[in-house]
Amino acid sequence: MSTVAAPPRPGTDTDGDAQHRLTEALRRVPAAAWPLVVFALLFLIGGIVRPNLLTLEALWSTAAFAMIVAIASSGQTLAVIQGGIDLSVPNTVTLSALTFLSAVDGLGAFGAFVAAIAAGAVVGLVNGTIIAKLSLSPIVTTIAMNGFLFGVVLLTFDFSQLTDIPRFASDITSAKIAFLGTEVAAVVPVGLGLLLALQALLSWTGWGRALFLVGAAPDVARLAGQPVDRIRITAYMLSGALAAFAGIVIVGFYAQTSTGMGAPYLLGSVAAVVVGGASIFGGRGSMIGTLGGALVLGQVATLVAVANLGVNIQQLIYGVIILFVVALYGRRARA
Amino acid sequence: MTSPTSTLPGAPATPVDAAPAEAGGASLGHRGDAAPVLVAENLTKSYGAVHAVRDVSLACLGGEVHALVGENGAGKSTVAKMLAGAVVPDTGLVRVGGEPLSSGSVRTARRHGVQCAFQELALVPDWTVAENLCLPDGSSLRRFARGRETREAERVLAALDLEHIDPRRPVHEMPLADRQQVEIARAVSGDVKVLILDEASSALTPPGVEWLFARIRELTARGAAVVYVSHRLGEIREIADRGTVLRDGAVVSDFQRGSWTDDELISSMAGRTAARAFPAPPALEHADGPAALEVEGLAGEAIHDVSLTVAPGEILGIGGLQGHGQAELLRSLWGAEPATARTWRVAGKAIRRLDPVRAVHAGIGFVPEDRKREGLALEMGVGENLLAPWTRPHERGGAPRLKREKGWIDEVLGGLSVRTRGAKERSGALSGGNQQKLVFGRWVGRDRRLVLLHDPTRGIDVRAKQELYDAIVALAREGVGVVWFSTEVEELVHVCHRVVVLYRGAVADELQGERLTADAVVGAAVGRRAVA
Repeated sequence: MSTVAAPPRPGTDTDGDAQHRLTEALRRVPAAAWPLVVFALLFLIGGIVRPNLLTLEALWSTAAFAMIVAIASSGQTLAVIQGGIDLSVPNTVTLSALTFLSAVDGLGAFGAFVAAIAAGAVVGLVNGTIIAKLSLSPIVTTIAMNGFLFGVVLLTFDFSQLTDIPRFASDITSAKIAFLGTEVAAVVPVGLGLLLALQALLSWTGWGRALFLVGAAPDVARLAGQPVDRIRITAYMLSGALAAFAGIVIVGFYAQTSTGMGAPYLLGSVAAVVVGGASIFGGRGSMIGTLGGALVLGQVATLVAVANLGVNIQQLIYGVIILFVVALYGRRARA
Repeated sequence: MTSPTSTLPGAPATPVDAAPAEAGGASLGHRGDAAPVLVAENLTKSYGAVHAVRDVSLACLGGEVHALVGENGAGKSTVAKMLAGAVVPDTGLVRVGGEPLSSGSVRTARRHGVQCAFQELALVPDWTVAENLCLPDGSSLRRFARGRETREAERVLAALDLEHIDPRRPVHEMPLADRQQVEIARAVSGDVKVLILDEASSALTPPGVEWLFARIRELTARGAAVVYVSHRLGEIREIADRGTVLRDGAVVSDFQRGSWTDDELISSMAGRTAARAFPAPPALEHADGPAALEVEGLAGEAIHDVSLTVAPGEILGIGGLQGHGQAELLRSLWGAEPATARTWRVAGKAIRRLDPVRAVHAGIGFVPEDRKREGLALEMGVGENLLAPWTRPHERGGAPRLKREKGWIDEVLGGLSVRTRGAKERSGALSGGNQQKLVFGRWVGRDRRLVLLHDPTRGIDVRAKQELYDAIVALAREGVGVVWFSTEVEELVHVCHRVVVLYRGAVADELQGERLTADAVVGAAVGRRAVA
């Protein structure tokens, strides 16, 4: 294509030109900004329905919920960008939370934290090695891993004894921090810092760019001399470690454990990533987008709760959102 | 005899009005059917701010081959796709046999007898040849009858003189040349009034092109019109009755059989006087250093006992018909395919295990066969594609890296005359020739010892070819050894120091100096060893 852009011809088809200018302007908006726009709209709609939803307190409570989803989805974002998916997030979350609680007596809070993260990284290492070296499908591998971990969780941990939540876990999550005359849960700044750091990793490091290259065109990456297997494996490792961090955050914030504590993050993490503008086929996605996606889901959850519809309806709506967004991107890709 | 071409760009309103009169006229009586079968009126198409095609009108007569020539980015493919109904024009109209083809759908176009074969293969890779051949009429989707389908495919392939293609074979397992023949076979096996071939010969071997021309002549003898898009002037001279030259999306001139020379056509396409001149290979001044490549007894899946030596600064051509082991040879030398050798040295260092990661470290570079699938991440930027081999996990990436490498990137883009808006433009938005320059440009100025090229000039325009020749010669002048497989014999003969011709996975002949002629290369390629 000739790259010398001819100036638009004046006077012809003004309607078309205006429409053209609008589409051009819309195309310039970074993809990651769209979920934030949708969130803002939903927030305003909430305010119209219930004026008390249009307050900073309401925003912070939604943000805390959304940030936890975003942290649990951050690893998923990496897995999706490199052209796979990590469906072992739910039970990695559970495994890590319970490892953390079990180890805290023996190793101290920090030791237990490291042990839990390491457990998640090992899960990711196994996932990544099987997917990269044996070329098994990521969906099958990680869902099998999820089932395997469920068994491990049931066999290993005694739930009746894991009720003490160490202070360290609540300090980084549910503790309140004064901000602009209101109080914000600590998880909001902690999560924001983590996501920004991960976004920097994706945008400004060779590893991050190689992740996009591997996701967008694995053959190209391989033939350009990129260590594709190693990049894939490290991505799954980091995904596992981040799911493990989410486990600690979840147990700290909600201060309770159960075998099914990670379950909402299966659909939740995929939904946040997809709504956040990542391509389910790899090569596209961002942490900021995922945060926006999580905020949209959080606001939907708030609206569902306000309308008293119950958690089942919430799952149903998440499912519809995923289908809608995937269909939307599918159309755009063909156009 | 009135020349229909005179009605083209000067007076775009007339071709259709003139059609009925000419149909009755006896001016082209020997053809029997001289009415324009396919007429395009004032086609215009823009993508965003880029005007891909501007006010193009043309008329293709029944029984004739109408060539569409121009450089990459001139709008040929877009015009071809609009004629085929695959792209909807912003304004303008396509008529087939006088009826407007308005909907812009390939299906409707096909019902009107417009068949097409595109450069970008439109075959389903995982399906067999038979399934792909039956795809247009939808029978594979409607009901599953593998036996009937295979028999039908066998009949079609036999009728088209393609017995060497197995209808049961999945398409992705076949060499590019065979895939392209299947795509053409699919187009010509239907009810054809108009056949549109967009760079359909780009991967074909010389016998393959002969085969294609035989099919074209059969169709024109039946009164069909053929639109032939190609860069290869030799082919156009042989097959085209008329032609239209496009430049920057608009018609710049028309021509008729026998009324043009290579130079005229090239300067018309380029908008300047350009001679088709091959640069001579540089003098071998670096020959005292260790050989860029020294391999003895290389053996792999499709190659047997291949021994090669490439001196620093030497351009070694690899010739032969497609599918005789050239692709495997290059991929083995790059470590992308398993192979063993008795001795194997790159720039004096012994190679034990090789994969692409190690190959980059060893000072090798590789331009793969399929630039869209293997060469570039089309969704990513120009700069990041150039940096693809040079991105290391622990180093900077993205914008900070682009900033730091700006000098190198600008040098590569400028040196190869890549037409792009800059390092951040999506590489998929570039034309084929410019994309190919990116895949090549990665290895420029990066201290390479050996660069392997898999037919880098396939399907790109004359000017881009010229620029690539110069770049290859410049690379060799710096002391880089080049191994260059080309399907264009002329390139091998003129730009290479030496040519090794492969036949059935082994070296059939090595040609140099006086013996390095086009005839000798072609002869060795079909297994006939030239007499020294």
